[in-house]
Amino acid sequence: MAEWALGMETSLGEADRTARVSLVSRAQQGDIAAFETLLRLHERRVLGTAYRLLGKLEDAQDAAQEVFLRMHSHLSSFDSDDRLVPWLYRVTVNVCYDLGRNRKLRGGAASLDLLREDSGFEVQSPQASPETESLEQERQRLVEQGLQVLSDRERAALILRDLEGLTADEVGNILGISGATIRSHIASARIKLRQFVKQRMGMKP
Amino acid sequence: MNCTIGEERIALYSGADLPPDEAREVELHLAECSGCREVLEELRSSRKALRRLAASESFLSATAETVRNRVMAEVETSRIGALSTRVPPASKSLGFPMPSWRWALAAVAATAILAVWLSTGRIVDPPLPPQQAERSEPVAVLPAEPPNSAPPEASREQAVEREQVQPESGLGPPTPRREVARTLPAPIRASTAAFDRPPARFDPGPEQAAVEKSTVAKIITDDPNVVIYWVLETEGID
Repeated sequence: MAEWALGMETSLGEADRTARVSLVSRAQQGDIAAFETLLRLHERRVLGTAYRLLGKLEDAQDAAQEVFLRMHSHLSSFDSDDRLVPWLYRVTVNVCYDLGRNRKLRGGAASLDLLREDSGFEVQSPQASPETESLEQERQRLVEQGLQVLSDRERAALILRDLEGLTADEVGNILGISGATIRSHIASARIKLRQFVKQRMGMKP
Repeated sequence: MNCTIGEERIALYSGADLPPDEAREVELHLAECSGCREVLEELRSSRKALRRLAASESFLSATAETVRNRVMAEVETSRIGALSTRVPPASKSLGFPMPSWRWALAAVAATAILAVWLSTGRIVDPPLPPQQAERSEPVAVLPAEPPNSAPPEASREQAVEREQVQPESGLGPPTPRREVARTLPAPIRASTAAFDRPPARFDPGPEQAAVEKSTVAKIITDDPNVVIYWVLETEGID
C-alpha cells in the first residue's frame, strides 16, 4: 500500500475513511457541496503532480481543471475514495502528457529559467546563489530544475514514487508499465537527477 | 562508477525498491565500497530534497483555489444546462394538469369580471353560509339562473360562479359548488351581499365589517382541484 494510503489509515481513522466513501457517494447523487469537498481533498495532489510534470503553473492549472472536470463526469464509476485516488493520478499523468505534447508542438518546451519566472519564483544559478544559502536549499532548487531534464516517463515515475509516495507497483499500474520496467524508469530518473545536481553544485559526477 | 553492483541497483536500494535478497547483496557491497556509499548518499539527498519540495509548495494553494472555482463554475453551468433540458412545460411544472392556455383564458375571464364589477359596482357573489343566507336579502347581480341549471361540466371552464345568494329554503339541496363555497375560510365567505346590506342588520364588529367590505369572485376550471378566488376590496365604491 502506498505511503499516502498508509498515512490515511493511521491518521484519519475509520470514521474519516467512511466519511470519504460517503463523500463520493453523495457527489454521485448530485450533492454539489460533497463534490466541492472532494475537490478540496485532492486538489493539492493533482495540482502538485501536474506542476511537477509540466514545470509551469499555468499549464498545471489547466491540467488540474481538466482532471477534475473528468472526475465529475466519471463520478459514477467510483465506489470509494480508494479507487478515486489512483484514477486521479492516472488521468493527471495522461492529461499532462497531452498538454506537454501540445506545448512542444506549439514551439518547444520553455526553459527551466522561464518556467521558474512564470511560477513566480526567483531563478538563481548555482554560481549566483548567496553564500548564506544553505546547501540543502540549493539542492532543492536543483532537484526541481532537474526534473525537467528527465523523459516524460521517468519524470512521472519519479514524481509518483518519490514525491507522491506511491509504491513502484502502484506507479506501474497507473502508468500502464510492467513492474520491471517501472523500476528501471525510477532508477534511471534518480541517477539522472543525482548527476544533474552534482554537476551544478560544482562537484565531479 | 565502475563497480559491478551497478548504479541502478543502488538507486533502487536508496528508495527501498529492491527485493530483500537483492537489497542484502547491495548492502554487502556497500560495506566494502566507499564510492558506492557516496553515490548512495547523493541519491538519498536528492530524494530528500524532492520530498521537501512537495512540502514547500504553499504557492499552490492560491492556484488550487482558482482551479476549484473554475471547476465549480463549470459544473454548475453544466448542471443548470442539464436541468433546463429536462424542465417540462410550464403547465406541467406547476403540478396542475391544466394547460397553460387555460390559465390564460381564466385570467381573461377574471379580468372581464373585474371590468363588469368596476362598471356596475356589483359583482357575482359566492354563496353565503346558511345562517347568513337566511338573514340576507337576495342581491341580483347577473342574470340569475335557476338553481338547478348549473352549467354543464363542459362549460365550467373559465366560468364564473353565477349562483345567487338566496335563502336555502325552497331551493332544494345545495349543489356541489355550494359545498365548495362552504369550505372557504370566513373572510372569503364575505360577499357583496353583506356589502350592500345596511350594517345595522348584521351589526358586525370592526374586524367583521372590514371583512365584509371585500368581494370574492370565484372562477371554476375543469379541474376540480383548481378553483380561483378573486378577492376584491370594495371599500369606497358604492
